[in-house]
Amino acid sequence: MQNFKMNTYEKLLEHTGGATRENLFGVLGKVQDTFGYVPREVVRDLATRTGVSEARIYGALTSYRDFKIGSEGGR
Amino acid sequence: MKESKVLTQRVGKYEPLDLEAYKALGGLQGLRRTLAMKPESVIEEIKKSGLTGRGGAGFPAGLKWALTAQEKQEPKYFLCNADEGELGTFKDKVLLDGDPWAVLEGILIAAYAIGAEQAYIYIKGEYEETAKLWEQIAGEAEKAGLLGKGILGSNFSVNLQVARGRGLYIAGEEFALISSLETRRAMSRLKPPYPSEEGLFGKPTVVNNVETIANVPVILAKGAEEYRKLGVEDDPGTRLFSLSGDVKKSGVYEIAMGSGTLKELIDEFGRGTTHGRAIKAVQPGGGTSAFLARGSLGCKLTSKAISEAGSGIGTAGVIVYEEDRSAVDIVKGLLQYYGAESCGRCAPCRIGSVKMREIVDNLARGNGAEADLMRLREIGNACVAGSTCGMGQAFPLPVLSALELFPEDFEEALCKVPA
Repeated sequence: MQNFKMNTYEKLLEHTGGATRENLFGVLGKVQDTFGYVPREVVRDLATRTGVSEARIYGALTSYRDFKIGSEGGR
Repeated sequence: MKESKVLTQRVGKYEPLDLEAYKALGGLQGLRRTLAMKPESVIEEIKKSGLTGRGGAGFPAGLKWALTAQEKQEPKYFLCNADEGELGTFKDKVLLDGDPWAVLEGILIAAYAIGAEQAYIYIKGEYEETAKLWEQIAGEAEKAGLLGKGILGSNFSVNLQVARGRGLYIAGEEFALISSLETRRAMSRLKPPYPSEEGLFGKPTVVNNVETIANVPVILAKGAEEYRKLGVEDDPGTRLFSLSGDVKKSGVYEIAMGSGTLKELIDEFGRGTTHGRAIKAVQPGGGTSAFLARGSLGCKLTSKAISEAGSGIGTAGVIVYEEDRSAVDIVKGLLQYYGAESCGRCAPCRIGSVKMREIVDNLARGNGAEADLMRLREIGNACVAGSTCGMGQAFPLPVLSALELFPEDFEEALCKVPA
């Protein structure tokens, strides 16, 4: 796990071939696995890219046990 | 009784990433035959084989495919459900880790038959290593021309996405799984419409369990008739029994349907109970199946026989309990799990699971009253009758059956001090 960096995230997106509505759940999973949480910037960016609202992404993220929306212990 | 290794024939015989070794062991024959057939004939073959779903509900696989194939909407999706969350069930992991190419072959055949160009495999969050392996498998498959455009030189194309669950039991339910992949909360939905009509992103979708899909290449390679030689008439093939609980040797055993009894499975494969005590009860189909008492253990290992004995084969996760366990404690453990896993869609399940847990916790502490037992029955029955998905309909079954089979345990737990 590493600290959140925008360009790590961008590389991750490139690797998955972009984000779409169809693979959004998987992309969020990869972000979680890489950074240990799903940062706000990412949710915002993914909402723009996929057309899925931020509210719905947060609705999903907060309902799963293994998704975190803040870094453990804060910073 | 002996094992009939059909699905597990290659498990442990090759390195999971080695496609060549898989081919050398007879792999891809089913897919090659499939690509030379019309999709309708493939579905016909599966129908003839009598294959039923191995994820718990036991729906005929061929019919499910046919219903989806006949829908006019495009695109269609195929989902492989590898979110194995049922208590006492760990058979899918054996296939996912031990013979991943066979599962992939099954996915490809299914996608071809129903006309899907996008397939997903949704792997249980706790199976982290398995998910990593599958990412690699998908990469290797693409290189080998088994995924992507023009598979094995045909004009059939399909892509596979590997997704990992995020720690929710309910995500293994058909519609909850679909919701999850749509980036929604994992929740069940009212049926109809069924996934075959309006599934993932509103499109026709087939959701199949891993073990179901692992049967597919075998059927296509050997033909339905040959496949039916194992098992019984209305329950053909083999099943992977996950044996656990109070047995000396827990594990996954592949057994031809009807070739033995529950007792033989426990005695011969499980080598008897852990402490050599008599068996009190067995759950033959995972944590949400009703208990069978000692007297019913002679029943044959078929869906029908187990149903007639008063339970269900479900996921074939056989959990054994020794005599010294109290039914109250067993039920308490089960409710602790299921009480935390309701998705909240249906009130009877959302509220009922928590209330039942509270009542049983109270009983276990010795504070229960006679009326609590009645309430437990009432709430349990309401859950069974009033929930949309398999979880709400099934999790009270062990509680209700325990009240029937072991009333003395509950009586004993009641508060003896006059109020």
